[in-house]
Amino acid sequence: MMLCSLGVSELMKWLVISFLWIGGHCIAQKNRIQEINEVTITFNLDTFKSQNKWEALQANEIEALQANDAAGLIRKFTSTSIKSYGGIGGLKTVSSRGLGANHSKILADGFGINNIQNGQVNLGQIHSDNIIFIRSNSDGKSQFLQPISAQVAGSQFSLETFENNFGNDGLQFRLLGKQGSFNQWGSYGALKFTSEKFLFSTHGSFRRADGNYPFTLVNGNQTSEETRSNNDYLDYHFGLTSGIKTGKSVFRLGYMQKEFDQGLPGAVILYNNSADERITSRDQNLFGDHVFKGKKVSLRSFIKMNENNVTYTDPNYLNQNGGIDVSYRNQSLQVGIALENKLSKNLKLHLGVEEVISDLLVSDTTFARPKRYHNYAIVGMKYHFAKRLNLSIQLSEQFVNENNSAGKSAENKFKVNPYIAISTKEEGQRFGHEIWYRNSFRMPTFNELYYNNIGNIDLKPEEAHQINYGWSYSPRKTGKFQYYFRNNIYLNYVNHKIVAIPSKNLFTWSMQNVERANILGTDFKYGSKWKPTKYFKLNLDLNYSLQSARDVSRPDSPSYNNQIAYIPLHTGNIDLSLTYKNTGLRFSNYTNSLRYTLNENISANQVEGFWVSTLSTYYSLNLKNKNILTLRFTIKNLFNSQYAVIRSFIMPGRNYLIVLKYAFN
Amino acid sequence: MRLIKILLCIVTLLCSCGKENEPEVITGALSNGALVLCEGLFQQNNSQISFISFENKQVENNFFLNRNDRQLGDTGNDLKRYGDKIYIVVNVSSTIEVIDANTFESIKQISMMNGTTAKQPRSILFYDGLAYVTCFDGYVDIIDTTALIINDRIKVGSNPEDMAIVNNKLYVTNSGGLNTPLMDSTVSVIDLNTHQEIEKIIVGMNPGTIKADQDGDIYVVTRGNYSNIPSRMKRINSETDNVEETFNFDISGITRFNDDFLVTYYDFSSAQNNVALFSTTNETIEITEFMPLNEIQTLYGLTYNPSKNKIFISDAMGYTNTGYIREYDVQGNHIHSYHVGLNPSKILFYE
Repeated sequence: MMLCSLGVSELMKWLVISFLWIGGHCIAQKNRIQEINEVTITFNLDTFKSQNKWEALQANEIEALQANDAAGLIRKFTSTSIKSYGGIGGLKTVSSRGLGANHSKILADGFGINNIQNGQVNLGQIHSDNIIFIRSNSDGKSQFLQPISAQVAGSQFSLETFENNFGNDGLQFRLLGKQGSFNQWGSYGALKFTSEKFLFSTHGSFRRADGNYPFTLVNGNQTSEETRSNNDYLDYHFGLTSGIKTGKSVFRLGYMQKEFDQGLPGAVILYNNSADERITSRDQNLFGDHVFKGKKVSLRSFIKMNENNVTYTDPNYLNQNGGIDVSYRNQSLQVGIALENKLSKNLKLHLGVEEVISDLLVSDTTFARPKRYHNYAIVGMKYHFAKRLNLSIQLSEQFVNENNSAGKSAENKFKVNPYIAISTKEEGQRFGHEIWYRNSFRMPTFNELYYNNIGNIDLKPEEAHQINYGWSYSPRKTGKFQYYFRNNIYLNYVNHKIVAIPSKNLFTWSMQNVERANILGTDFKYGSKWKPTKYFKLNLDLNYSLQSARDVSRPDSPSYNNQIAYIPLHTGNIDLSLTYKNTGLRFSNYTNSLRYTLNENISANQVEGFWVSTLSTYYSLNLKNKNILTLRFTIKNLFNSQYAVIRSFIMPGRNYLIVLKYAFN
Repeated sequence: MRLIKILLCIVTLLCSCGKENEPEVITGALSNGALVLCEGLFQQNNSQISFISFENKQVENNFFLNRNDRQLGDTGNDLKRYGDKIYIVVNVSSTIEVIDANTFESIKQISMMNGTTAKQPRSILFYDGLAYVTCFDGYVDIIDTTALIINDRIKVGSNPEDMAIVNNKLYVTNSGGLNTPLMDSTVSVIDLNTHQEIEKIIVGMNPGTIKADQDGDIYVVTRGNYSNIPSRMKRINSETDNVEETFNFDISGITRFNDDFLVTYYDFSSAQNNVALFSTTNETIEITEFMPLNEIQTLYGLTYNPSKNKIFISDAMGYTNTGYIREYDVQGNHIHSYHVGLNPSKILFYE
């Protein structure tokens, strides 16, 4: 449909070659498969115990957190920092381990979420009501046949939704409604059916909010009570997925559409309250995959087409047209194959290829018309030897070709990135250790390359080198009290960091590869579960991260060796939940230490640190025949902390949310 | 549990932060020093005034805040004195702060809003009891300097920047900077008796700084498009209002230096700074490298103080670090550097 214009002939050629090669390989393997496992499309492999290895949130925790969006979940992970501009649907991005947000890849149900125009995914627009599992992964390990583009990213957050996660549960139904402060309303409904041969789901959701929250404006020694304006938000999501199952394979095809309409409140500017900017957008996705899971060979081929249309208006912009009204159409096609092959008891091979083709069309004719062909390939092996030791080695290749039909194009890029990891076997052991090194990069985005005066087609990719040592501990015995402890220490180096600097005058900035950063970080995670009686359960999770991210660009600069702007040195989370029969209470806290608006660490650039706490309670009513009704009440920002993550973008104070959910099966 | 307690304590300690207080370097009426307008950065509400005391060679940052208990706002663009009042033009906050020149206490904040649209004032100039303010919405506002109210607005070109007055005429550079890449190329000429635009002179793309010399000639910097159209200086004859000459050198700004000009140039791609001496009598560059600029990282402004016979250069230090005002004698010898706020530009001296 929409992607006919995207180099179909090149793609077909590439696909044919890929399928021939991998297909042939599979057929050869197939004959040897004796025992066939039931295949389910679920990437959820975690239990409480495996948390000492991975960081993840399970469905019950996700529900208990009552986050507004995916950002509210991801901030619970160690060594992340969320940049939030505030409000329901407002821009929120994640950066992990001191790397920029563009190094993080977000996956939903095994498909990458792309935005090649600005390279960042707005987590504020990802609903959390349908998320049943979310996981953070920085170590670059191949994850159950995920897209290669995600496997080679600097860090990765992978989420699964109820409607695209197929087990063998028959008919399932979810219906949810919510109401909160600032005239916030939302609902979500999903119907899912899985049989031995067939799977089907459909879902829809919407959110709206006025977003006109009050805040205290501090201006020098004076304060005033103000209200955020032009912060309204509305979105609709709906989707449909169906598929068939055979003994070894699952075929899945789905469509999802999201519509957004929101006001942009902008920065709180002293003495100037005007805010009239708006964004409306439509995001359409068609995705499909085939998962084959044999005893020795696992294979996944996948395709996703995305079209994203955004219209931005600013009627008060002082140009001659009397404002800005510009539309952007972003298209992308991702297609690829990932394969795992167990060659022997101790040796596993994985490989994959992926092609992502993206283009951008802007209604403003002065903008470029870029199209990008991004090719990924990966080959790696895992070897298990000497009883306790695992060795993983991987090599990835990326080739990027770019074509701007309205002007100069950026040059082709070719890179090879290694990954190596040594770990001890965790199962049945109290201590696990792991050390890994990886090298990754992120491409400059279309905006960074081509945006009128700001763009710079000579930009190089931003490179990241990461080395990590991690260990974990969990006692062998499991009883009423279980706990684990995990710690990572990492050293990252970022070169050719892409930053905007004034290059013509103070109003005309441009993108340059001028910065370098050294990041020394460590994070600690403690998780415990205490279940003294059949009905009573207490969970305590604590984490703390230190990210010392230093600007090491120029020794003669005043900001040399200073903490990089907007990366908090300290972040932490406290989560305590009590469950008794069908009732629960959860206290959740999120903390950031002070940040700097610029790399120069002086008091004038400080943004104060904050603690934000949420208190949530629920009662579940188990009706007959697997019908469950749950009522939740949540107080967000319990202590009414007045804070900003980004200077001049003040966050909401104390607010409330009531949620009623009905679930069948 | 002990571990948890320790962790909590650490986090609590680390989250609390202290704010450094700027020491006061002057009390009471201002003298023997300079006010420096530090523009700050867009959307950070961190424009501020630094006061340099020449007496003890010290700097008091946040001087506006210290004397008025509130912040200056977002992106200050101009600072000038008229009589006993100082006017600060704050672009993104869209205000003009009128300050008592002796005490530096606020007299009035004039809001430059047109309904819900910010007019975004850019620069100010005074003539015969009136203040003329270029506003990015395409007008020059006229403010009565006694009543401190806006009397009238004169429509000019797109995104007007700078102004000069000669022969009872106001020359306004229309940059059109917000229409990038299709910028404006004109200078509006306004009759100061009728407050009407007489004509628009086509001068070249993206006009910025404009200065008059003692002979009544007008010099305007056209900044080009920062790529294939270079920056140039043009001379307008104020009798005929024609562009009479184009000077073929790269230029960022013009400063009066006695009867001549010091023309400055900062090359963004190579980070090269230069100050040259331009003779308004011979209409040519007399000295191509007027002074060595070894101390300067980012030349962002130049001010000559005739009574001290000193040159003060604003060094923006790459724009994202706090800047310096660097003092030189007219032979170009560096005398002292004062550490001020972010993006220092305009300077106002006190005897």
